[in-house]
Amino acid sequence: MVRTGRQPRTQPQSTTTTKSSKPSKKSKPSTSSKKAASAALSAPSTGLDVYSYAPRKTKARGDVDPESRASFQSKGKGKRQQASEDEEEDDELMGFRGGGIVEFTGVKPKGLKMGMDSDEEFVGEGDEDEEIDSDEAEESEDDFKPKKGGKTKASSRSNAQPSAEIDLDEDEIDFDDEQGEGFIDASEMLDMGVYDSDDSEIDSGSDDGSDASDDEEMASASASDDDSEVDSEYEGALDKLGSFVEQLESRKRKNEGDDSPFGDDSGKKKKRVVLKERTEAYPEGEFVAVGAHDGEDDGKLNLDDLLSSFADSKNPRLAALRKTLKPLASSTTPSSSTSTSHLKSSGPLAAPLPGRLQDKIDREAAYEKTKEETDKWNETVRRMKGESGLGVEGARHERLTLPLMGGEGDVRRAPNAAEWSAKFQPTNALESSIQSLLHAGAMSSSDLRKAEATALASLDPADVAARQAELRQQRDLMYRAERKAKRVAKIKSKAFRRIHRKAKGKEGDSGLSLEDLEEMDRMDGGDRVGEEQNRMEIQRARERATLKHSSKGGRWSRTDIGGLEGLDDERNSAVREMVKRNEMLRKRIRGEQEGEESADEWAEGDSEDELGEEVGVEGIRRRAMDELKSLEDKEAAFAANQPKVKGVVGMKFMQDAIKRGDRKALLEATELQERLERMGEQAVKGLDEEESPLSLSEQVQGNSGRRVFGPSSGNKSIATPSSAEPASLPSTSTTNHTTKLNAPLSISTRSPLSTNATPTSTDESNPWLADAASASKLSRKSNKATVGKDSRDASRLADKVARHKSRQSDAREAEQDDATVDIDPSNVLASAKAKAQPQITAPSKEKKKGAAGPTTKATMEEDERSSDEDDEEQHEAQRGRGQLAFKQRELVARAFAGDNVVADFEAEKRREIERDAPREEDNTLPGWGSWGGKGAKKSKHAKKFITKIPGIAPSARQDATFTNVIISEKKDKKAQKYLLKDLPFPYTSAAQHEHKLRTPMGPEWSTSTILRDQTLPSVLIKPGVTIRPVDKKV
Amino acid sequence: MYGARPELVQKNWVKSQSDKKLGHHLNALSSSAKASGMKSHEHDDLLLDHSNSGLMETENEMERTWKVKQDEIVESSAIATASKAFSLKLEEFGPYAVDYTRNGRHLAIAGRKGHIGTFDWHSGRLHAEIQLKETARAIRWLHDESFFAVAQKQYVYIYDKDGLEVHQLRNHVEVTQMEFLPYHFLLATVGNAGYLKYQDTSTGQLVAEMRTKLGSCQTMAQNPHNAFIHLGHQNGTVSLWSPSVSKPQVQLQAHRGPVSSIALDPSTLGTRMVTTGVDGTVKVWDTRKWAVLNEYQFKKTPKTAAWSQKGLLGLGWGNHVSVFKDLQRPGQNPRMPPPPYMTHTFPGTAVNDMRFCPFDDVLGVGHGSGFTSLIIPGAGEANFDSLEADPFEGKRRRREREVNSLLDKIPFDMITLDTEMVGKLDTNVMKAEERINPDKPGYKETPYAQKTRLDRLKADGEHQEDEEEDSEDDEDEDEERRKAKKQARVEKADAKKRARGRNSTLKKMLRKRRRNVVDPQTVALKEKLERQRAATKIAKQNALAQKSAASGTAGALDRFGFK
Repeated sequence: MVRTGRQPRTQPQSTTTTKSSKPSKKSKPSTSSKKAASAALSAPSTGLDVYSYAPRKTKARGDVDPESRASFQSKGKGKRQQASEDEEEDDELMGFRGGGIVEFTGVKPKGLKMGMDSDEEFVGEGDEDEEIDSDEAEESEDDFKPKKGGKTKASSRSNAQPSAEIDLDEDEIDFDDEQGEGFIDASEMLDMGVYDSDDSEIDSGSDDGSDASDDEEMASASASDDDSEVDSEYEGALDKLGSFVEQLESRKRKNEGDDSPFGDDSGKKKKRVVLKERTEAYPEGEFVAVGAHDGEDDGKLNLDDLLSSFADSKNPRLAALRKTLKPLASSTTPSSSTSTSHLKSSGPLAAPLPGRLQDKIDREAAYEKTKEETDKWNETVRRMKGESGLGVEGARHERLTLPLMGGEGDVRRAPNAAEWSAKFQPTNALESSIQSLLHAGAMSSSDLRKAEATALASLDPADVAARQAELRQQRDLMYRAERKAKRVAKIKSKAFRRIHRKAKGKEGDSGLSLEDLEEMDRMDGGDRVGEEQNRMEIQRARERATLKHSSKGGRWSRTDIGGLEGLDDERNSAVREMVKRNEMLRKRIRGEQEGEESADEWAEGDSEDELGEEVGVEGIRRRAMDELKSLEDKEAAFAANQPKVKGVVGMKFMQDAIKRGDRKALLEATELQERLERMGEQAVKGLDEEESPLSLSEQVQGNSGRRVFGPSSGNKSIATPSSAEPASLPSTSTTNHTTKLNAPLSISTRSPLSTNATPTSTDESNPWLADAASASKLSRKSNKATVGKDSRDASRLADKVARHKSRQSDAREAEQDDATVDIDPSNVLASAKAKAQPQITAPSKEKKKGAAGPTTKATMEEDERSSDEDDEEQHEAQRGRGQLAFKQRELVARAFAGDNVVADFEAEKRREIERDAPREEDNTLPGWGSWGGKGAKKSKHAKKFITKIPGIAPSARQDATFTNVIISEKKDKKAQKYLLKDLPFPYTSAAQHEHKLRTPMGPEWSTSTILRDQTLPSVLIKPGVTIRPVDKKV
Repeated sequence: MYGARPELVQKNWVKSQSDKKLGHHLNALSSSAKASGMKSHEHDDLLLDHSNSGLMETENEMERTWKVKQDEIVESSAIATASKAFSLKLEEFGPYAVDYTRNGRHLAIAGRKGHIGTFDWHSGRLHAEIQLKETARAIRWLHDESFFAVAQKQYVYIYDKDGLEVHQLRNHVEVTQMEFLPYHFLLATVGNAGYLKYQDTSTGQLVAEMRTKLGSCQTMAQNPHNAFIHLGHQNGTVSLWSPSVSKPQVQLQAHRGPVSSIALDPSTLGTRMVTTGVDGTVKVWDTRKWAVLNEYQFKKTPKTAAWSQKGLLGLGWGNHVSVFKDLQRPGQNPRMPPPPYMTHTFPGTAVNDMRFCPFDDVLGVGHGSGFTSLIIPGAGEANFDSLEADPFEGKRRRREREVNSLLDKIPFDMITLDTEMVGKLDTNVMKAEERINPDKPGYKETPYAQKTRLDRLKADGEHQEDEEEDSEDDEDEDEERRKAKKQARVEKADAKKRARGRNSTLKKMLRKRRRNVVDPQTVALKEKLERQRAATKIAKQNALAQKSAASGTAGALDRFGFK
């Protein structure tokens, strides 16, 4: 980690230095190869001797020429393996079979192994040699002690023997440290394109060993190449090493025979044993494809061989093909590329799925298949159902009429006139004679057509053109208004559609803001806000789920992209999209609206127009106005140079009609213009409000002609008439006009007051109105009233009047009096005060009368009666026969004196309520099962004997709101049998079922046609007609 | 050919489109019902003339319809109509009760002093005339003109068309009022004893017998819509009865004095009821919300009231008969009755009973000195349904109808306030089901104590037999033993739970999977388990380290032990 920065520094040197150092190195191993080997073998015994050993080894290695070195390095992790291969091959070639060192090697691999470890790390992470070395040192000491003694251990060590070469690498590392040689950058390796990332081969020493054995068995082409190189390089210095390796080899063979269990390694070895020796690269035969250029090919032709030919080609088509074949290729390559991986890839076989699951999967697949098959009929079914989706004949949605109406050949459509005439064949004498006559007179349809054509042909073409132009002009004139109206309508609809869409686009799908929804929720207790939020959440989650916005998404984004230049188009676009999306989401998080999107929308919505620079509602409005104006201009221009017309169009009635149409079109246009203007004003108003909160005017009810000024305009109090606006005065008078007496009064008295601009609202009681009402009510008695009370008294009386008014419903009296009363507007107030008194005395009188009555009844009754009596008296008095009537009532009252029927009824009702109310019954038998007497505890089982009777709470009763009605809550048990216990099948609620009940079917409830409709069978078959099977391709 | 158009399908019954077929069905129902309604309206408009309801109209504002006398009407009307106005002078046998058959063809009158007469009044043919020689209080036709019942001094008797006594109903004692429910074949009577009795005239059984507990009852009416019997009582209440419930379904405090008469408006399906009190008040009620629509005060007690088929209200008070057309019109005084449509006065005799003749503009009035048939233009329904009641039916048709109506007889227990009750869903059952079903909103869990033993055990999570005895002989055991037992139980449960707690779901899942099956999920599970173990280990270590750090026993380097 400390040295991570170093590699790049040392790397450039590597090729050059190796070259320079080559000759010097070459000599060293040749002289002291055997010594070095022995020294190397002895080195681990001294523990930390790795460093001292290393340089020598490097020298030995240094003989390798730069190209081969480079190729070694470039193999990356596989390099060590290659090295060991080299060694072994070397041994083979040289025929070295050294003996004595073998015993010694029991120690040697220790150090070698360390070397190997360090090498691995090197390849993976760059250079870490120092740390590794120290680790190795420790490890070697630890490991060394136990292994020294036993021979078996030594033999096990021998498995790791081939990594002696890696020890050489270790040396090399040191060498690199000093000279910066022998390393290439990982990126460089990648560039070379032969980077083999298969780790499995260098997992352990045993693997190397196995590889070695493999190589021994199979003489691959590459190995042979290396052979030649190595052959030339190694002269004598490696002899010892070679013999050592040979020794190991022999040892290994022994071990194979032993079958000693050594975990995985031994297992793998065992497998190797099975392979028989081969003399040829692949079995020869006429069916064997000869294409084996890599070592482990067993003569079979695989996909890779075929693909390799265009692996590097830049042809896009080939690239596409490569892509499609990729899964196949990848499936074949691992087995072919490495010799060991097939063991790993095919582990234990996956257990078959449980039958149930398998069935489910099968069913799903079958369903898909069947659906696919049946979906082919969809079009046919849809056509048969017709436009409405209810069936060919609308209401006959559940009915099928055979033969089908839409079916070909079964159509019983009556041909039209042209068809008739074309097909017509005379069948009887009359027809044939008529036809012959027509033929004779050249009056048949074809003859007529011909005649027309010839007539046209005979005319001068210029003449014809002029005539056509004239006709066109007349047509234009006739339908001008119509066209204009259409155009105006189009402008209008376009503008409004745009605005609507804008509003919609702003606020999601529902087109309403959350606040609005909340408002609506509050109104009816729904959960629109929650739903909306949920919807938005889901939408957001979906968007995020694509991962297209983030750098985490996509395979390409995982690699380090320097910039966008190096990428091909596909990636480039993907990256761009990602960035765009990311930006959009960010914007949304910030709560911004994307303006460009709306602009796009505008553009796509209106392709014929140029892109609107102002996209707001204002823009739309202005544009619509412009369009309208241009239309008007065109019209005006047309009207200006309108030629004098003649013919039918020139006649008066036609002109009138045209004018009428014009008027109508003009009306529409002006209306649209007005609306647009109003819209504009509103927009301006909105701006004003934003800018100056103190603006004091407000439009009234969206009417551009009405504005309200003043402080009250800010809040929503409606229609405050102001002195600044004389137009509002009539409106106040209209509100008052219901009391006809007041209308002149209000106007005359209001004008001086109105300068104060007292804010009044409609729900507030109009003092003038109130005065008038009270005045009109009391006016009759006012004549008798004494005036001149002091103001305090008057106010007290007024209070009483109000109270009395609320208690008594005297509207009818007021109504009566309205007719007779006339009032002087000047003394409204005074009279109101004064007239209060007699009104108060009236009820007291009544009360007295009620008290004087013979019965003492409930107050309600009293009140009612007293009012009744009052009315009766008045009524009788009016008719002049009051005395008699009064006497009779007295008599009746007396007759039923003491009949406390109302009280009795109320008591009865109370009893009924109590009877039905939910209650608990105590069924305890006192003294039963418990002790009685003083100090006796209450039995704990007392609760057992209390039965709860769930009745009906008084508030839940049907008659809860009535005073004079008792509705029994007793169940009609006999009627229970007519009720259903379960909901009948197709219905999901009682309401649906009752809907069915309310739709009776029978001659008593509907007319015969309806009944026939209702009882028509679901499949109707026309008799005597062949019914062909439905073809799905009709 | 008429088909329900798509635009008729307004109400989407199935909102969620969960069941397309059902949705279609319901929409078809809606459209069918709507089309049916529209069609029948069209049909009625086409066939029935609504332009002239047959009412008398004034030519100018100064004219009053009630000023028109019967003589003038008779004079100015056609002979066929004029012949409908007649009068029977039967002065000696006292005030007469009146009844028409359902088709309005036959008339029966019963004098208080035992004079009974039945007629085919259209043709003026007398069916029977008998002198009972005892009090006859009321007379009613049964299902048609072949039988009639008379409430006599002691019992109710049934006579046939010829006046031959057929039955003596001994169960009905001192009956004052009778009603016949034509669709149920029930004769309902009420009398001085205050018992309401229902007699099935097709089977002869006494169907129901109810005690009103309100003393003698003189007033009775039936609701033609739901076949309820309305009784007016001495204490001013009106009670509504059905034969299947022994108590009045509704009691209404209508008047403060005795109720003198009740009538229900057939034109509004019985939703309008008029009651008159002895104190002279007349109240028009809405029987749906039991509210007074109009209230009038008469100078004399209205003795009898009747609604015509077209909604004219006739009131007999004193020796007057007033027929009211427009009850809604407010008078000058709210309690003053509106100006009548027609009036008639019987000089010297009080009106006793009156009925509008069905399908005819005739009001039959029984009074002290006989019977008078008054012509009230626009009173009767002009269009009759011959399947229901045919004024011109012949002998064969009558027989057929009798058989048909017997076959279609409605059981008495179908008489309920809710006329559309039959076939509805039983709310009680629904409620009970909801209470049981935990998925329903009305679900109420039974309290622990009320559960069965098995359920209780299940609730405890220990469904074993060894606990049997402790619930049995609980009471005998002394406190200590019980406590010990409880303790033991708790411990046992505890132990069990602890054992259970050892298991993680993950392990359980692993155990469930067969060991020898190696599939990705198993591998993943194993790995997860491993990770969990490691995490717990680390957590433990951390906790330990923290603890030691907190207690100060940690070594100098222990702080690096955190992971």
